[in-house]
Amino acid sequence: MNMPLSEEQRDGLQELMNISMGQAANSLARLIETKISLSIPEITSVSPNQLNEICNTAHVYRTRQSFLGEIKGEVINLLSPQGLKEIAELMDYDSPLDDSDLNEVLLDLSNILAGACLNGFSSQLELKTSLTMPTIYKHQLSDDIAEWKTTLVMKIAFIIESIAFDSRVIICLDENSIKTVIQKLNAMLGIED
Amino acid sequence: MFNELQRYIPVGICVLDQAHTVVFANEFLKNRLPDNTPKNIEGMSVDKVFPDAAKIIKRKLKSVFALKAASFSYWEHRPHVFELSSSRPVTGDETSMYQNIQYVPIFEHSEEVKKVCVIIQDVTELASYYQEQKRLTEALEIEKQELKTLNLKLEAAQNQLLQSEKMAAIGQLAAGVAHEINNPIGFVNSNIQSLEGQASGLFAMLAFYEAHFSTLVDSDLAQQEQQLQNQHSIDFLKEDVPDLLQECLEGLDRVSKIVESLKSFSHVDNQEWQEADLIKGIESTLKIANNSIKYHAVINKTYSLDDEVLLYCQPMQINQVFLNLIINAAQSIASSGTVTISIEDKQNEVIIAIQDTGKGIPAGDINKIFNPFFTTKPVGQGTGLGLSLSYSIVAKHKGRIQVDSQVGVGTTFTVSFPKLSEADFSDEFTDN
Amino acid sequence: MAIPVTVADDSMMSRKAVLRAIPEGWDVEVSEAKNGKEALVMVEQGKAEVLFLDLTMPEMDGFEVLTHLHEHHAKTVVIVISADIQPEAKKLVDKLGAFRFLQKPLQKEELHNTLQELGLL
Repeated sequence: MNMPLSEEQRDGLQELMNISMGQAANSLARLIETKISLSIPEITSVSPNQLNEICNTAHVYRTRQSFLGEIKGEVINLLSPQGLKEIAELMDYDSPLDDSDLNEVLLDLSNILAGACLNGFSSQLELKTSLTMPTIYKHQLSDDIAEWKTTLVMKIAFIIESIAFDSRVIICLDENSIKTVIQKLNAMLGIED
Repeated sequence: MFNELQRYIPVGICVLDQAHTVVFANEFLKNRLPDNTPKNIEGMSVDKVFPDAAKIIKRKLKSVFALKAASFSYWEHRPHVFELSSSRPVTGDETSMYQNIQYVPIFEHSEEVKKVCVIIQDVTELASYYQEQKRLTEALEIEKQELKTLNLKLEAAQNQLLQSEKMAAIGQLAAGVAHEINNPIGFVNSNIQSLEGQASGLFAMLAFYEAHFSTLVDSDLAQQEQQLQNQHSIDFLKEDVPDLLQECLEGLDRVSKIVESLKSFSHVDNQEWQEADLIKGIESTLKIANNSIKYHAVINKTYSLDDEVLLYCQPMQINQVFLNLIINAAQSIASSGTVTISIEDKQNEVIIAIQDTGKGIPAGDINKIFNPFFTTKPVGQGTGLGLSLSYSIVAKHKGRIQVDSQVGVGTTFTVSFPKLSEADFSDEFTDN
Repeated sequence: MAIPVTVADDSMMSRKAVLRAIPEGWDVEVSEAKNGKEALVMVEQGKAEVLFLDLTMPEMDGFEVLTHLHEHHAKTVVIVISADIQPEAKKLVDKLGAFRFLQKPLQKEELHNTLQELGLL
């Protein structure tokens, strides 16, 4: 399925994402009482190979989480190992962290970022969806995701400069959900289908 | 209806408010509380009901209240947040419940999160199964590693076997060649020796004739004799024939030495076994080798002549090994250098190291040096049998020979022999 | 006489959202700017007595615009409309002399109330 977004649609999605991540950052900032820098979100339509490339970045922790409802898909979080310890402390974890703690921090953090982004995004579009439990993703991304011929990827970076931590949230929508999102978006923008 | 329904749902449900007070708990949860906890926990603080988990629970609640989004905890990282029991299906034992937990925000038609619903799923069965699988996988992994090491050992053993088989084949070939060459060399040698005697007879006769011809008055005959002498260059012949014969004998000597080596190479077990002092062996070897080493190498010994290192062995064969290694070491040194000989007498083995400061062996040749007929020396100077012979001698003694070399720095040959007795070699003797 | 108003935001959707939220009957002449630099040009040209300003923009971001205006054009009424709603951002915006801080997505009523409070309606 070829899904070229018009400039107007891309701009719309980007702004929706921008607002969602603003809310996410605000939530996280309040929780850990630290300022978070935001980047301008990237909205792209990618092939499975490209998605693989984005996700299989070296030297990061990866978690995944699916969401189900009026829109469906998967959220992939890439989290830098740098600064994790400091974040864990800000989140009230006792140091030193053991492996279980580390995994829990990763999942907590992923859930917070993914949850806030997705909630903001879906509520602006008035679409209901809910996240399932996150899991740590150790393997290379491969065939299971390749079934999706095209994926709409929304990539957001959260950077906490004071402790050199950065993370990327990648929201992947399946084809039907892309259609749903675009319909809603068109309605918001006043574009005829 | 919902009130009735929630009793049958096989998950623990518990609602907490912003003050961390239990607002509601379902039957499933209450039935699994520890015995010393009151059944009616509604209205109590988590600090009281779950004192050990209070910190974790509060942290999760804080995040749900702040973010207005669900939070999770997974048994693998936090197996028993809430102290609850579970019956373990495998053994029937009461045991701590493994739990997957969801902390879900409750809005109750408001913008703010007022309460959090905690949903506790009993995954004890899954967890114990998973842990069993994990243990099995780990055991398999260990076994796999062991197999891997075993495979490596086997491979090494096979390589060694291959090398010794190669030695055996070469040995047979060498024995054949030595035998075939030995006969002709024998008669050529004796013929040339007779020829030498006969030639000196002829030359004595010739001298007699010359002496008498010079006294002859018949100048015509004397002239003819002179002519014949010139025609056949008799003066040159007198000098050259003994030289030629001598060279032939030297050549034959070299050939018989090669044959000797081939013979000893193929008959390494033909020597007498006895207890012998290796230091004496090295010393006597050094005496023999002295001629070929004294010009370029200083011999440095780390052992004392008063020491005694005994080994049950074939002394002559062992000396052959020392000779080969020492001569190789000396020859690797171009102008001047040192050959260090050390011997280490350990409890179960003897280790002899011969180290030189010579030119070293290129990495590409290291694997070939024990092959028969491999030599880097100019044609005629080396047979290429020295090291392969040494290898098979050491192998006969159940020892090992190792080489470390760095081009431009030097080479160390390390030979180690296990300290064995006659009985340990009995199979070798019966085999042959 | 119509009040010159500029909406500065890199997102077209956001600019449209602001335009839609402007109360009917408020006599304004609206210009648009896609980044901080364009916004400053509008101010120079007298097209922005009221400036609706986004914070995250390419070329020159909202904070830089505020800094510049703070030094040179203190009279411009700046209403920041931002997706970055962290307390830190609000604090900084206040310090740089913005009149109000509104969060995205922009609510029509909130804008109305704000304009009234500022005496612009």
